[in-house]
Amino acid sequence: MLPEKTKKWIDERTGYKNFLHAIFLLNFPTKRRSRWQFIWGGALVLMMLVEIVTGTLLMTVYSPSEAAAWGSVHYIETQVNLGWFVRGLHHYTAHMMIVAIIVQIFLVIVSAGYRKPKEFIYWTSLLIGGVIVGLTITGNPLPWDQKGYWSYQIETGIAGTMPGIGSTLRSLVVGGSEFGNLTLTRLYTIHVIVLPVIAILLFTIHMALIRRERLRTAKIKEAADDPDVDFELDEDDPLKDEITQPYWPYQTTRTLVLTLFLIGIVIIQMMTYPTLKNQHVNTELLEWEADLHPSEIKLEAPADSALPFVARPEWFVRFLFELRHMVPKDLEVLVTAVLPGVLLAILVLVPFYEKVLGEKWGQRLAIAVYVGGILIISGISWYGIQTERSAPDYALNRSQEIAYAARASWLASENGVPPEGPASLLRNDPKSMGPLIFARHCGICHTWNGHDGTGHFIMEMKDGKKVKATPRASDLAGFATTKWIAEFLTNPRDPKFFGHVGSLKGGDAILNGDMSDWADSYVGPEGILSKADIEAVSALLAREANRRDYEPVSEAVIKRGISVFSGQNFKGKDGKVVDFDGYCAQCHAMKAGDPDDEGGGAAPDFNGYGSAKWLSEFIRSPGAEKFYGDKNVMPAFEESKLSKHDLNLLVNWMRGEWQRPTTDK
Amino acid sequence: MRRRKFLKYCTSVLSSIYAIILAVPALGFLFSTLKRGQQEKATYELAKLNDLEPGVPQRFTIIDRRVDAWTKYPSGPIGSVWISKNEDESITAFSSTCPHLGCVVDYVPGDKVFFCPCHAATFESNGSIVSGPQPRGMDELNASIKTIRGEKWIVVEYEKFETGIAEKVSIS
Repeated sequence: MLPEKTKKWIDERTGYKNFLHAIFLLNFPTKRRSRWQFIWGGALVLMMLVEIVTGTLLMTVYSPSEAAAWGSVHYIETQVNLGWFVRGLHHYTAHMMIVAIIVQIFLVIVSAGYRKPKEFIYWTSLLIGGVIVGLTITGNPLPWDQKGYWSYQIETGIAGTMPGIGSTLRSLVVGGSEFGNLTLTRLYTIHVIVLPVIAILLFTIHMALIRRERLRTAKIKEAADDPDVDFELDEDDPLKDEITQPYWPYQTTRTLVLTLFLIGIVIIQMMTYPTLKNQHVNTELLEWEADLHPSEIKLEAPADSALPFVARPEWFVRFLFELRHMVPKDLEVLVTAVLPGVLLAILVLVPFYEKVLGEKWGQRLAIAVYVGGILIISGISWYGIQTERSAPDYALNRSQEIAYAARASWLASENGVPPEGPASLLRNDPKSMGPLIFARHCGICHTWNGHDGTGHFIMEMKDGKKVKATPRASDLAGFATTKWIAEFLTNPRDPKFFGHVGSLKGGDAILNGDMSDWADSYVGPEGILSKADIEAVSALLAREANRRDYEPVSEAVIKRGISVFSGQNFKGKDGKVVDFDGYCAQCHAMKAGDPDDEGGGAAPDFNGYGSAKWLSEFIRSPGAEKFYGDKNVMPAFEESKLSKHDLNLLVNWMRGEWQRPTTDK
Repeated sequence: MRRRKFLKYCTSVLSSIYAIILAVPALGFLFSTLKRGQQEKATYELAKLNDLEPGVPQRFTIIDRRVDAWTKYPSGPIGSVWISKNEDESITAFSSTCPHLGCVVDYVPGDKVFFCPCHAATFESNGSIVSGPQPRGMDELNASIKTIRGEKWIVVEYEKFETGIAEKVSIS
């Protein structure tokens, strides 16, 4: 460091030593007693400093726009060195600060820190607490992921219910009536400039007030202790018990110990729980298998109002959200506007309790109200979280959300974020959108492994009870695979296939039609067709679909399949060529199955069966001559019902065609 | 006073830990974003050999996908090159970026020189310096001829170089 002489030279001209002493509280007198109690404020300041440093770092990468916000945060998490650490520190320290504020206000009330002449010190600390809550609320939506987007929807929704100013206030913070680019730029401005500046101003006033109070106490003590000064404190004056001591180094050490302890908790939490929460949910449910291990998912899926997401607010406003659901609609405003106002008033008015009840009982009331209030609020929040977790579809919905998050992160790492924004990552992805499109359009009649594609079941009311609805058409999971076709051929009347079609108008012609008759006549123990025959013709058909899970079979099996399909060279169970009049080509056309191509017309055309082209054409017009013709019972999905984009996604998803890791088959 | 000294010592240790918790991630964070984008050398088939007139340089735009931090753009122009065919059918390719300050260099057919309009840097058609403030001649790129479907194509390996210095240093 600088030599003593230089320091002296500078100090004579600037007075920097005094300045530094003031800034770092080096000459700041504190109470000797209960000093562990008065370090939470200092810890809050040091945590705020952590937020400022990490926040500034994040600002060097983060970009507040709909198209860029999610991508830039994903970039911070995955590409920037220690980006996950900086963002995690910023995120979790903010939450730790709210915990510290709750503790700090409790300690202030317990030590009567609001009592004359410290009322304004108390009130400024309440205001600072409010600003920190505001910072957390405006910070969480910034990544523009599903969680932030939806929790901000709820929070601005609550703000919007305030009588009179509600809708104006909402438009102001949202930047219009709809969420969009302006919402983000406004959030960003409020988060990085408006609130921090207000916090610093409040903090300056707060510190000035504390300094004034401490120095005054120190001076009075000094005068009382000085035998040359004719001044005595009253016997019951609380100052009598105070022994002043400089802040440095006695309190500094303790403040740092607490700060490091709290930040330590933050770091441990960050390491064990990366930014995405709820990892206890099983992500392997049904088809929603995640592409990434949950520990590698850093962000929820990009904000998209079209994707399902169960909105939840931040934990510290959770009780408002829960209460809002508990009261009748007309009383909502009581909860969303009046109640927070009342709570605030209860806290602000604490110094006046003693005016009415006397010091002892005033303080006891304040403690009772504060602790009681926090217990009630925690109880409501805990109850709400438990109710949500025990809801029947909670695990399923949450695993779906996590699967979306994993898919979006994986696609972004693999392909980069397209210029039109991160939402298109999932919107153009068959694996993500296929189930939703299936559930919306097909799930009313068809099923997918029994559910509607997304893992939910179509429900209907029966005798006043909600029960699983009976499907009306076949289960399409595994459609056009060898296994699926073989199962169908063995028993077309199975509930998995035509079983329920009979309940539809005209469906009986299919349920008890030629295909079922065919199975009755030729399949089964008495039938001429062996299991190998069925499998061979199924493999022949599945070859047309050429799904990625199709396993090529030997030439002999294909030949056998052709013999079943065309009826030529058909060998019976004893291996001799016999006449077979149940051959497929009588009704179905397929060049690969019938070299003479004589058949077709009476039943769906099997040329390219199950391929993307065949499926698209079928879905567009199942009643076409080459498909079901007059017998068709399925509605046609024209462009007006199902866009070309959605049709492609649906068809690719049904066939299992989506981008996968290259190591995968 | 020993207690006071001990506490002072504790304070400096603890505040160092606090500072390290902030400083280490801060440095890692900043330095990873300050480092240059990892540009990969890529080759581009730009023109058929027969379409070029000997001795007359022609400018071709390099079209490729560009990754800007988290955004991946679809194909678009990322730079351009001057290609000239010599009398002996050999090929010379220059980056059109001026080695002085990175403006785009033009070709003046009448004078048969490359000319940068920003600070009047002038180069011979073989890339060497005629006059001007540029510290080095034009940056030559690796060019070769490849036969694709029976036709001879000019293939250029495009890369960018640091500007303003005498040495030709690739940015990658």
